[in-house]
Amino acid sequence: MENYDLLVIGGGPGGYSVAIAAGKKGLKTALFEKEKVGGTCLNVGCIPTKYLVDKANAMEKVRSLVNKNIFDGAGSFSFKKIISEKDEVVKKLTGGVSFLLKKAGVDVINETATLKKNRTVECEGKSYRGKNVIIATGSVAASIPIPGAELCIDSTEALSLGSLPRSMTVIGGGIIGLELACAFASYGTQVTVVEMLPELMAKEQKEAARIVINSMKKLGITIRTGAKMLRIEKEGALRRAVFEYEGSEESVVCEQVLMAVGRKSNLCGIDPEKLGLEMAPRGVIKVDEYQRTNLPGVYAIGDAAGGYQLAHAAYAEGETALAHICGEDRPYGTVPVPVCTYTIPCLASVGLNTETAAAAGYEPVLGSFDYSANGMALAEGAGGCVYAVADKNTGKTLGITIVGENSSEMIAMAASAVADGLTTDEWEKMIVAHPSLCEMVREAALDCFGRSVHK
Amino acid sequence: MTEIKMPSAGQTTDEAKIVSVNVKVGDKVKRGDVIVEAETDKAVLPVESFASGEVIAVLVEPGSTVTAGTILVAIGKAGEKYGETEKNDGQKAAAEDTEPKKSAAPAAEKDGEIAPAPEYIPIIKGGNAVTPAASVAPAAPAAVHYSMPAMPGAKALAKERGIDISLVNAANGQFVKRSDVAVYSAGTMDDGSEYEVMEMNNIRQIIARRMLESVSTIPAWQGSVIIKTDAATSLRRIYKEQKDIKLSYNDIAAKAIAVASRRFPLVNARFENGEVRIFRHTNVGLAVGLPGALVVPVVKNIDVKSLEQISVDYRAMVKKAREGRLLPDDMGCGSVTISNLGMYDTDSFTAIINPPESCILAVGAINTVPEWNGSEFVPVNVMKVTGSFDHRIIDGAYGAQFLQEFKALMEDPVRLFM
Repeated sequence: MENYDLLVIGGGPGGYSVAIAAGKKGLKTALFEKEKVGGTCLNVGCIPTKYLVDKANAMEKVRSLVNKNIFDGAGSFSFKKIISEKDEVVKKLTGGVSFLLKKAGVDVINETATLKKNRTVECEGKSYRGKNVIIATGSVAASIPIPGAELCIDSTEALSLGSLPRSMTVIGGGIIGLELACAFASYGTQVTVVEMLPELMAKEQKEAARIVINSMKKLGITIRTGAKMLRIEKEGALRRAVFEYEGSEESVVCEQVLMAVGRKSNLCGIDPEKLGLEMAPRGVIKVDEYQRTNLPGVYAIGDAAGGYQLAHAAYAEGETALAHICGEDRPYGTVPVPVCTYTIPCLASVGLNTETAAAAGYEPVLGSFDYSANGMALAEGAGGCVYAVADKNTGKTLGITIVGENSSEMIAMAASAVADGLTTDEWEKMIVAHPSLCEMVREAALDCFGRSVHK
Repeated sequence: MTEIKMPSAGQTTDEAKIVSVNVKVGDKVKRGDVIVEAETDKAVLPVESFASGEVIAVLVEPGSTVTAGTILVAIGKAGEKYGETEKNDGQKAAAEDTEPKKSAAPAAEKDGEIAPAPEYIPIIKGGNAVTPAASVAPAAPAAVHYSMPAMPGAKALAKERGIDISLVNAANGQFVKRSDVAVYSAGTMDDGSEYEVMEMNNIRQIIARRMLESVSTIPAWQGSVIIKTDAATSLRRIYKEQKDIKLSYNDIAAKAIAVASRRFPLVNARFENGEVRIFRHTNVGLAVGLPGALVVPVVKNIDVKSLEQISVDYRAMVKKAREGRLLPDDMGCGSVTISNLGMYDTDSFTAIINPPESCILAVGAINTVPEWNGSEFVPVNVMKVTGSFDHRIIDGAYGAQFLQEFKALMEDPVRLFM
């Protein structure tokens, strides 16, 4: 039996970051990871997708330059190279994480671990006892039980295809589905997105979502919302995706069908019944604001504990759990979480939108500022819009949504403003460099009360 | 160095046309990679490499006509030059080599131009495209359209002029504008002629030649029988329920031909080289219509196969036909052909004998008709089968009796198992 201060199960963003932080604080820490450190995000999720989306954005940029006759023709690209270079980037990142873990003195055990009672973890016949245990087992791709589901690929496979499919049907219009749909459509794949819900990006500010959807249509993506997937059939070397749309059966013949219906928590090595671990609805582990489970000394973070399925949410949850282990009081959920969807263009939001703000009892006012009125955006040939929601009574900024180039960068500034509840007066005092896209965030916030200068 | 030659494609083929060359000089190939596709009189035949290495010369180009034994491609080690290896026994051999070398070089260069590296895809969509999937799935059906998004104005104009908008290319490589449609429509209307000339590809030319050969050289006569189908229908239902096998009427008909051929062996005959050759086994072809073409894959030895096996074999053949993967060996070896147009509601028709076969059975649609059973009219399901027979092989009485036996077997399929 080996004794540790902290045992972390799962080496994804939540697990590895909390292990490194614990190691740096001098806690004797062990991290169990059955595959590669970095988890879904680094290996088969966010980072590889972003590599693909970035190349797609680059091509869109080139196309617009050719369209303006600035470039004379555009040459060609290799999908195979994109995939192989993406693998290099992933390797670099996971290598970096391994190095940081080593430097922080964390023992990494590359095997499947099983959580037992009394904060004991069994792995490869050895037992480890921790004063504290953090479950960070993450999630796996979910699937819907339709006939022919086995003919589909999941997002992991979509990120490592050997050649570019001429056509692809995407089941599910969530973040994963839309991001890959945009990247492949930009590469030249004929993409059809089939979503069961009546609208895409329903949780986002309506006006912003509409911009993304229109842009996807321009990319040539066919969108079918309110459509129920029925079955996938083989048609020679191709697939036929059959779905119900507006009361009748429709079908698309395509080379690949991507199942992107979301992710479900991964409880590999965790047996809630045996452990007496309390669960919340939808198969996630129940935790309180300090990420504590009902078992003493056992915490859960990241996708395994539900909430936002985002790496940075897992980071923050890990920090909360570690703070609690170290006797600090830093409950989770006091700061708004920014959410970025890397479609073309990217949509980033933080805090409330007009609908959720009204539902929360505020009297929301919407301000906006279009990319077309910003000098930097015009110089870069960027398009999009910034939306800010403020409370009419207090003047405080409740939420910001940005759609367009670099929105995922600008949202950091917006997130800090929303976290601090910046008022219009405070926005006015802020100085933002010119020319820059961030000017638009300030202008949109000021526009809530008609005080934008350039609008 | 290894030379990949055009393989022999079977009895009737003497020439083949190269339809695509999938490699260029410098490409790495493995055993089994399809390097060239050649259209013979029966099918598009993929020619695989039987060597691994680097392509050092490509000696054919799309459109060239080759015969069995023509050298298509040379494969060797990287850096090796075609015609320079393995012949170091004096100058005479070297001199002999110069000729193929000369002809090899320009062909290879030319090929390099028309077949750019398939790995790279043009960034501007719809540019003179090397579509990536072309190498992945050469048999992808043409039904899948890859069109570009279009502006509403463009769509409206296309509709107005009756143009399929998916055929219009976007000048900006992103989306189709009204002006693109206008340009396209001007282009299509320009030549002012009242008709278009359909391209006679190899398969169409072959169909034309063979059908003309049939009607001009075979003294054919026709006869029809009306067959009650209820027993065959219930046989299909039983197979479906008991074995989950979807038999087709064609499968049952093929088996019935084979069983009938025990008493009427001349249906197993072919008229070849001025003689009637009666084959020991029953090989039955099935006419399969494809877009712009007709092929007749054959399932051999029907007489010794179970219905189950026959069904599996035909299904596999039809699939191969649809995917354009039929091999010469899969065709041209039958003595009877079944041609079924019943699914298109054709009640009856006469078919043209597929030479050198003895007959062809034309199967029509199943209809419900009234039948007088002595006291009243009752509904019965029937189909009409019309046989065309080569009179040089099968005379009227013989053919009629064969049809009678065939009808009896179809109406009482239990006899198929006896």
